[in-house]
Parts: sequence; C-alpha cells; structure tokens
Amino acid sequence: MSKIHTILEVKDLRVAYAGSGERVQAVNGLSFGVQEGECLGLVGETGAGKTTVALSVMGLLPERTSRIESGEIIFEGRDLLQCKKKEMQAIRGEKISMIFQDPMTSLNPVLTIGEQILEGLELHNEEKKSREELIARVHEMLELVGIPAARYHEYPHQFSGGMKQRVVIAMALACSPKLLIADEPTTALDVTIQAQVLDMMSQLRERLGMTMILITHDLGIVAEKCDTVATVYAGEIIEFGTVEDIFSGEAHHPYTKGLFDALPSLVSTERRLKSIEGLMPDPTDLPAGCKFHPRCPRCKPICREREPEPVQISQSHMIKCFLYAQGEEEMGSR
Amino acid sequence: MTRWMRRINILLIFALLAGTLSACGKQTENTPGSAGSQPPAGPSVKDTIVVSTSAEPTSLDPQYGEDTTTQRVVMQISDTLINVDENMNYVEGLAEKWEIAEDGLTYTFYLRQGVKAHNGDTLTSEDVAYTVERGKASTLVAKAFAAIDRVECPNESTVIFHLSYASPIQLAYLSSPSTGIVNKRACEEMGNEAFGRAPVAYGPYQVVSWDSGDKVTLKAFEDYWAGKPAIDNVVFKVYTDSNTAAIALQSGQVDVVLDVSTSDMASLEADNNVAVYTGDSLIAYHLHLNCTKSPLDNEKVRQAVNHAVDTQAIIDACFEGVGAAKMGSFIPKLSLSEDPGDGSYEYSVEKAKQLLQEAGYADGFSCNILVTSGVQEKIAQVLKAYLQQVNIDLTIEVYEWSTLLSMVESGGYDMTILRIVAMVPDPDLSLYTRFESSQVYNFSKYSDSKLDTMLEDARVCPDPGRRTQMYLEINDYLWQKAPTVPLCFTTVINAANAGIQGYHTDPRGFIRVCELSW
Amino acid sequence: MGKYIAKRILWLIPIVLGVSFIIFSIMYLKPGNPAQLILGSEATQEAIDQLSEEMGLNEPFFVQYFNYMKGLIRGDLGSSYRNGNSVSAEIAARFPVTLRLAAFSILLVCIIGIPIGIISAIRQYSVIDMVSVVLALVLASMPSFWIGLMLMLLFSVQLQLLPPTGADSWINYILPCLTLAAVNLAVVTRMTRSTMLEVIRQDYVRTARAKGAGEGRVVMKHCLKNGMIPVLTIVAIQFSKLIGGAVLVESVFAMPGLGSLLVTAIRSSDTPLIMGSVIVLAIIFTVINLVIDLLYAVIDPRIRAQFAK
Repeated sequence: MSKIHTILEVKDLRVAYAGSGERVQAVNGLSFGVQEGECLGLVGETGAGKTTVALSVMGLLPERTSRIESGEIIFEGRDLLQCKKKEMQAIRGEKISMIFQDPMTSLNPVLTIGEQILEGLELHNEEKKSREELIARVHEMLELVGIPAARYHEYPHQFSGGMKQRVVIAMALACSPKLLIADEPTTALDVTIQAQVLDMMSQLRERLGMTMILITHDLGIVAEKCDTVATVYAGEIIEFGTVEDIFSGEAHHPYTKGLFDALPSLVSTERRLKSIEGLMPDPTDLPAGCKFHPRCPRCKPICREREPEPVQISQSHMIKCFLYAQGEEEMGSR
Repeated sequence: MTRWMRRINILLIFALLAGTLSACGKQTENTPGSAGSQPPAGPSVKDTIVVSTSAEPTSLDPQYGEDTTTQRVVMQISDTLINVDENMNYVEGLAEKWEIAEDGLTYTFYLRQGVKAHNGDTLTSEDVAYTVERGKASTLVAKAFAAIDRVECPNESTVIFHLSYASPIQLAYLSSPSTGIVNKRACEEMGNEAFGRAPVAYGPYQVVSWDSGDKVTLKAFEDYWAGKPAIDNVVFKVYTDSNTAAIALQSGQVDVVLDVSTSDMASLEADNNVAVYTGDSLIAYHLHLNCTKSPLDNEKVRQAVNHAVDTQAIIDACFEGVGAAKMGSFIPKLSLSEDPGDGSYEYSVEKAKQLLQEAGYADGFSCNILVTSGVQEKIAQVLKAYLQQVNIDLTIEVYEWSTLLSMVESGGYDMTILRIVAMVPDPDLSLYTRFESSQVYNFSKYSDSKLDTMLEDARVCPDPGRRTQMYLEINDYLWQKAPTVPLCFTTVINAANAGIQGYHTDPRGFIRVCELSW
Repeated sequence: MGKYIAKRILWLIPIVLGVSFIIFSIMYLKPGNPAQLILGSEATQEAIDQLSEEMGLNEPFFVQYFNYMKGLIRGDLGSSYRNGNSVSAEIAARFPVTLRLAAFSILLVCIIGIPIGIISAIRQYSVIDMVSVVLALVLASMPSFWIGLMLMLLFSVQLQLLPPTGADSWINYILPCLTLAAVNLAVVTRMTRSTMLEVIRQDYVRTARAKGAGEGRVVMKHCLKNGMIPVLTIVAIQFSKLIGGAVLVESVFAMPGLGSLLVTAIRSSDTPLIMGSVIVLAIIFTVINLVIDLLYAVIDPRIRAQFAK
C-alpha cells in the first residue's frame, strides 16, 4: 500500500447561525477525513449541513451571522480555522477550490469568461508570470474542459448551462488546486449533460491527481464517482465508509438504509415508494439523544437519552448508532 | 462588435467632457473692473458702481420700455428735455429753457448748444422730432406723446410742440425716461432691434454690454454735456431674490440695492458699511370694493369698511412698519403743490357698525377678496381679522396674476387689492386709470359720470393753480364716495455702500448715477 | 447600431410636434393676455387692443400655431413677447450657465454619493451607513433655497471666502453646486446602496471570493459594473431635472440660467419664449435618454447583444 496521506481532516466541527434571535445549529460535532487523491461523497438531504461544512473549509461563511463554535479543520498540517484573512485568500482558489450549484448565476454577466478564469490566475501569480503566459494557461484550461479557446472573449450569456458549468470548473482548476469541493455541481443540469460534466470531472481528477469532495443528494452519482462516502444528518456524520461498504455492505445506519429503500427499483415492481417517516429536525430545536431517533424504525429507549458514539464496524466503515454499539451485527433486512 | 462599442464609449465620454469643458472655457467676460469676479472684501474698486435691480430691463430703447426696472437703466443712457430735482421740481435737461403758451397748446423748447451724442453727433431739433415720431408709433409709450399733434423745428436748436389738446401732464411726461431723446442717425442705421440692445443717445453713460438675464454694463460718456460723470463704470445686475441682493451688498459684491425688502432692513441698518435711505414714493395700495355688486354698491357700506380697517395695523403687519406710510389722500403729496391734508376715515368699530346698521346690514355679510400671493395675501389676512369685528366674513382667494385679471373682468368678486404706480409725479397718474369708469384697471368698477367729468376737466386744465384746486376737490369727493379703501403709500427703501456720496432716493424708484461719487 | 441611433433621433420629430402643440394650446387657453401683461397696470384699453393686434394675438388658434410652426421648421424660434429679443439668442445665452451648474452638481453628487453608497452597502448597519443615510435624508428634506442662503451667509458674509452671487468664473459655481448637490445626494446614495446590497448577495460574488479575491477587488471589479445600471438611470434623471429645474438656486445665487428664464417667461405669458424653452428642454431630455441607453449597452454585454439583433 502506498503512503496514504490525509489531506484534509475535519475534527469535531460545530457551526451555528444566529439570525433574528434564533440560534440555528447547522453543524454539530462533525468529523471526517479525506485521503489524497480520493473522492469523498457527502450525502444527505437538503439542510443537513453539507454546504455549511464546505463553506467552513473555504472560510466563506457569512461573517456577521455565523459562528464557528469549536473544532479544527486541518489542511496540509495547518488549522484553517486559525488562519488569517490574507492567508485564507491565498489558499482559496489556489490550494482549495470550490464550485457551486447553479452555473447560471455563478458567473459574472459583465465580464468575459476568459477574464474570469484569468482572474484566478492573476490572484495567485506567485511566480510573476507575464499576462501572455497566464492567458495561454486560460486557453489550456478551456481546451481541457472542452471549450474552444477562441471563445475566451465571449460572455456568460452566450453559453448554455452545461458549458457554463464547464467554465466554472475551468475557473476552479486553473491554479491546479490540491482539493476541489464540488457542491451539487450537476443538480441544476439536464441528466445527459450531468453525465458529461461528471465524466469530465473524473478525468481531470485523475490527470491532475486532485482530491475531491463531492456534495450531493444523488446516490447514483456517489456510486459511480466516489471512493468514500459520508452520510450527513442534522449536522453530523452518522455513517462513513468506502463505496463498497456503503453500497454492498450489510450493516447500515437506519437513515442510510432508509435512503436506499427510497430509491425506485428497476427490478422489482412496487406500488408505492418507501419514504422515511417524518422530517429533518428543526435545527433551532434539535432532539435530545440520537438526532434521528424520532424517525427511526428501530429506535430503542437509550436512543432518546444519549448520543451514540461512532462505532468502527470494519477498518474503513464507521456507523454512529446504538444498534452496533456492542459490536453485534444484525441482518440488514426489510 | 465590442470594439465598435468601445469606440462609441470613448466618443461619448469625450463628447460629454468636451461639452462641459468648452462651456467652462469662455468664462471671463470683459467687463471692466467687474466686482463680481473678485472675492468680496470691503469696498469695491472705486471706478465702478454695481447696482442691484430686481428684474432685467425689457429694452434699453427709451421708447420701447415703460416699467420701472427698465426706465431706471434707460435714464443713465438717455437724457430728456426736462429733468426733475429732489423735490420733483422741473429743472433744465437737454432744453435750456422752455415756454408754454397761455392756452397750453404750444410748447417751445430751446435746446442746449453743443450737446454730444455717444457717437459724436450734435443734438439738433431733428433728433427731438424723430424721437416724438417714433414714440407715437410705440404702443408702450404712445400715451406720453399722445397730446402732441405735430412738431415744428424752426431751427436746429428750437423745437415747438403743437398739442391737439391742453395737457398739463405733458411736462411731467417730458421728464420721464420714456421721452428720452435718441440720436436719429444711429437709430435709422441700426434698426430698432439692435438699437434696443445698445442705444445711442445723449445721456451720461453709454452701453458696453448687455448679458441677457444677468447684467447691463455701462461706461461713462467723456463728452457728456454736464461733464463726465464721477464714476466711470456702472453695472446693473439682476437679483431676483432680495435677500441675496442684501447679502451681496453686505459682502461688497454690490454697491447699491434699489429694491430692499423690509425683512432685510434690520441687518442692513446694523451694518456699518451700509447706509440705508428711505423716502416717499408715488406708489399706493388700494383695497378696491366692487361698486356694482351688493352690498358694496351701497356708499354707506363702503364707508363702513373704511372705518373698520385700521390701515396702520396693515402697515405694521405687512410692511414691518417701515415699508409703507399712512395714506391721507388719494394723491401723493409730491404730486401736488398744495398739501391735500388727511381725509382718511378714523379707525372706529362703532362708527363702522353704525353705518352698517343704517345701510341695513347690522348682521354683516359675507364677501370674497381676490389677491395674488405675497404681500397682497398678507394684507388680506389682516383685513379679514378687522372685518370680522364688524361681522363681515371675508373669504380670501389667492390667484396667479393673469387668472386674477380675467376674474376681475368677469366680475365675480367683492374686493380685490391693486397697487397703482405713478410713473411721473402728476395727480392724474394716481387717479385716472383707477377711477374713470371706462378704464380696464378700474377694479372698483366705479362708474360715476360726475367723477369722470371732474377727471377729464382736471386733466386738461392749463392753469396750474386752478388745476391743483380741481384735484383737491376730486380727492375730497373720492373720500366721500369711498370706491376703495386707500391702504398705504409704499416707502422707497434703498441701501448703498457707506462710501458712496451724494445718494438720495427718488420717489419714482430711480437712481441718477452721474450724481454719485465714491 | 447606427440604425438604432438614427431611429431614436427621428423620434425627436413627433416629440417636438407633440410638445409644441400641447404647450401652445395651454398658453392659448390660459387666462390672461400677453399684451396686457406687457403694458402693465396703468394701461388703457386702447393701448391693450392695439398691441394685441400688432402681436397677432387676435388670430384664431390654428393660424397662430401654423405661423409659429412655419418659423420652427426653419429653426426660427420667434421673438420674446417681453423684450423682442430672439428666443434662440436668449436660450443660447442662458444655456452654458445651466449646463455648467447641472454638470458640476451631478459630478459632485456622484463623487460624494456613489462611494458613500458603496461603503454603506459593504458595511451595512455600521456607523457610516446609519449616519450617511440619515444625513442624506436630512439634506433632502431641507428646501434648496434655505441651504443656499445659509451657505451664502456662512461663506460669503461671515467667512468672506467665496463670492455669493453671479456666474462669472468657476468660483461662483462652488456654492450653488454644493447646494444642488446637497439636495440631490440622498437619492443617488440610497440607490447605490440598495443596488450594491443586492449585487453583493449574488452568486458570482461568492464565486469571486472562492477564487481568493479580497473584498476590495470583489467590490470594484465585480460589484460596481453590475450595480451601475440603476444608478446610471437615477443620475440621468437627476441631471435632466437640474437642467430645467434649478430655478430656486438660480434665483438665490443670481445666476442667469434656463430655469429662471422659463419661470419669468411663464409669469409674463411670453408664449414664444416658453415654447422655445420647453422644446429645447424636450430635445435635451431625449438626447440624454439616448446617451444613457447607449451607455447601458457599453456596461452590460447582455443589452449590447440585444442591440446586435
């Protein structure tokens, strides 16, 4: 086994938003790690806290309304939460890049796409390359994502949704970042375009040896593109493992099982889709004990009182649930 | 496409900048020693005097302008046959002496010798004849020449006016700037339009420039017949806002303010660099009572209104006590050689009520008054309070001037306020246009054939002594009939830099710069 | 593009026709006789009648209108009733003063107001934000002539630093432009502030930050251009208002501008002068609108694309 290097480690992160008197607990003691070169899928419903985690890593949380209450985010040996503004600005775009969900609004309509990609290069031009050299790099990036370099001078409104997202990707990758965080990059695109964009992202990832965190609620994408998976619920990671662990494994957190059960099946004929009862908990008023317990079909009395500790089912697989607390395995079943 | 856009962009920016900058370019106008462009500090440069006036002259041509603000500039440029002194007595002007025939139909003027025009020509009787002719053709000043039937020029320095009817007022007109003599040659060469901007005449100053809406600049005429004036340059600058004019005077930007408002008087009087001058005027305010409409068609009612109103209170409230004076007669003192005395009605609520009762209006009545905004509105409010005391309920209606005129024409009103401005100190000008029955501005719609005859006769009476008596009778008659409530005579208030010598007010609102010096 | 500009300029014809007809009708129907106003309150009926005849005021409406339009087509705006001067000469004499007044005031408003608006938006709810909003509102609530007089008293009388009146050199413009700027500041500041607030929340701003851009660059490069279109509109409107509407300030500072020309003309029912002034103003407004529309295209490539069609 080659040296496995943890490029990013999030330890016990707690983030809250303060707005109109209420305190929204968005992230509650969340921990995970990403190895160099792999693709981690962060899965969960809307409002689980996935984007907040991503923004915390980037240092892009809104200043006035959010507070990182505790935790560490270790990247290349440094705790990002202790970094000053200028240090974070140097890291953003160069070491860690992020792309967002809606390509239609992610690009500045009054600047050419070439200029916008160039901007990232200009901001992180430590080697003092000349403008021509930087522009050449922009052309390189455009070719890389499948856009003719001649379109440098065109404006975002002249591109389709899929092409725009490619531009966004080109922007994010221009400085060859070590880590790319992609927040639902294909959700706003057609299914066919989705496939194209995702394929391109995988190829680039392999070529550039880049690490990626892919935030999504689409298990199909996770299955195809990710190496490791973390399930996020109510601001916590409740299950973590390799793609095999999660998709082919027997043991699961009841929530993860619920997610899988909710997928329509191509093979069996069912009259109704199975959904998980109840709703995500109100982040201003989280339940005591295990946060999933009000919706859990296998809830035990202890679940209501105490929070479960992470349990290593196997070397790579972690589940945070009292069902596995004694190391006993249960048959995954219907 | 984008390159073209960029070019348009640059072009537009340049056009905007160029437009603004070029408008900046031509700024310093060559006004000699204009005090306006220097920052203010103490007395102005001593060869210039800056006079503030409330409105621009309509024309500098003597025969084409007839309002006060126009004539006060014209009189610096164009001299008349006759002048008036401080007490409104006639003195020589361009004419050395004159004779009036017994029947008042022939006026002979002997012109001064060697009077030079601004273009070097010498004054001859031809210029006078020419002036009379063009004056008659101009609707604006025709009335000043109306009585003159024909002009005879027996020689170069004698002019004889043959009048078609005796008109004692003619002398007064001949002292008014509207009869200023113009140089015939220049006028014919330039044509009326150009002449109106820069006339050539026989006065102490000539025109340097006229910046529309801003100022008129004059310079002293070297060969003026009475000697070159002491002050070389005169600038008449337009200040529509009287507060601004007062501030400009205090800061030294302006040397004389001709239309001082009463609200500025206190601060001007307190300023040691400023001297305030007051004097009588020929302007009166009347409260016109519609004599064709009940109940004001009743003489007793009108007299009651006279008793009910305390005019001193109006003077205090609306003119700060200093801007106006009590009106004891319909004719200003300056216009008569004899003192008309005080015929005004005593302020007495009881007498008013008694008269109303006699007229059958013991319970009073309602009526309305038409006024323009400003001073007239203020006066109306004071009136309302006083009339309330005798149960007369007054509704005040404020209108813009043109609208008010048409409302008066149609007759739907009880009272209105109107000023009368006598351009020359002759009693006819304080009476005729307001009380003769066919006049447009007879806002009382007072129609009395006896009065009409009295006015007509007095107009043409050639004997001065007899004429004065006739006007005294008219004055008494008007008090008795009370077609109006005479409210007040306004006071002329001027303010000037304390360094100016020889200043005095002129009841006509004029200024004679050639008499001033630093 | 050239076609677009040509079309807009052609629109001037119906605009001028419409404006002239409306104003002429109003003046015709309005009570009051210009001849009577010229002759003053001591005139006789005969004089009034004669002058009315001379001025052609007794002709029927369409004859008068037609005569006026005949001159207008030739570029002759007629002569003022009040003093017989050519209307075009009167307007031309006043126009530079008004243009300078409006241009410098708007420049002041932009130089002061736009940065304050931007700072207010970036530091929302900070002290600067609160103070500037309140201050702008207070200034906007005060009557312009009062501000003008106060400035004049302070700087000309007490401190003797600046000339109070006149339009002779650029120094004379300082106080009036300050006055006009003070009154118009609020609108531009508020508009800049609200547009910037909106723009700052946009996704592309987040993208820029994610690239590592600092706040300064984010604002200047990304926010400004996007926020300028509504601000430009407001500035254009204010400028147009100033061209014809600075009457009070012109009066207080004794500056011979278009605004006071128009007011004097209205007071004397001077129809040719009113017509000429309003037509010139209408043309100016149209041209300003055209320039602004073109500027939109310069700023925003999406609008530019529409022009290309």
